[in-house]
Amino acid sequence: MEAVPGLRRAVVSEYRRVVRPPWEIPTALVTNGALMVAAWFLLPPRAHAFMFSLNGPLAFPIILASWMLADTPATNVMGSSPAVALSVLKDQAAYWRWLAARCIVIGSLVGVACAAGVMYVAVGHYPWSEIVWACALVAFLPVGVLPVAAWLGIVFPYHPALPALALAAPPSLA
Amino acid sequence: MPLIGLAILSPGVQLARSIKLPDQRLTPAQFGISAAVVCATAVVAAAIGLWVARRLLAWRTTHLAAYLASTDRG
Repeated sequence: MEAVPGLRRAVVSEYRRVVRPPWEIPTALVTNGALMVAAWFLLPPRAHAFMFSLNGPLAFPIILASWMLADTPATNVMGSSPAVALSVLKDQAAYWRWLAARCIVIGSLVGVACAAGVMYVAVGHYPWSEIVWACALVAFLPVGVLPVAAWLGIVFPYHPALPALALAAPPSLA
Repeated sequence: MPLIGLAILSPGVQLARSIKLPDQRLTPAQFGISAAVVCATAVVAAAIGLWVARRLLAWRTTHLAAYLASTDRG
């Protein structure tokens, strides 16, 4: 069983997992971001108004942040790395460190991408105070979203390889 | 769907809509107040989220251990 070391080492090891195959976290974040960007720019006005309750250039990166966080890296906390999850089940401090490390890593990836989006759409068009507040928003949003999203993975964990295996070899009905 | 993000944004958005004058943009101060409300909501959501996650974890420990052990073996 793997143990979860101090917070700093846990964050470093989570960053290592991000940049190594199978790139589960970046793939899900980029896919969700691409879907949201496509919906924002390509949907006709009525469908756009139905999908997005907020409008305006500054709303774009803020909604992008909430969409990027709405997938398995945020929700499937326990099932994505069973060995680490097993090691933290009986050790509450290790569980906090592990959850905090995942929140820091996913939050930083989403926060940096969306803060860049804020700068792109807002610099030159909005006062600096609004730009700073919008950056604060996209930085704080993952702080609130990720611990709540983790509930789903605790109640309904799944192993990411299992659905792929099920698709490759569907069970016999006989 | 990103319902958690929307739920966290909602109090600040509702506040912004209530203090905004019709057909005018939010002033920087109004925007800042609304954004601060969203940030505070996010912190409260994080505290509640961690507390509930701890309770859920205690409730599901046996089930999780069995499931994770089986997936860890492949």
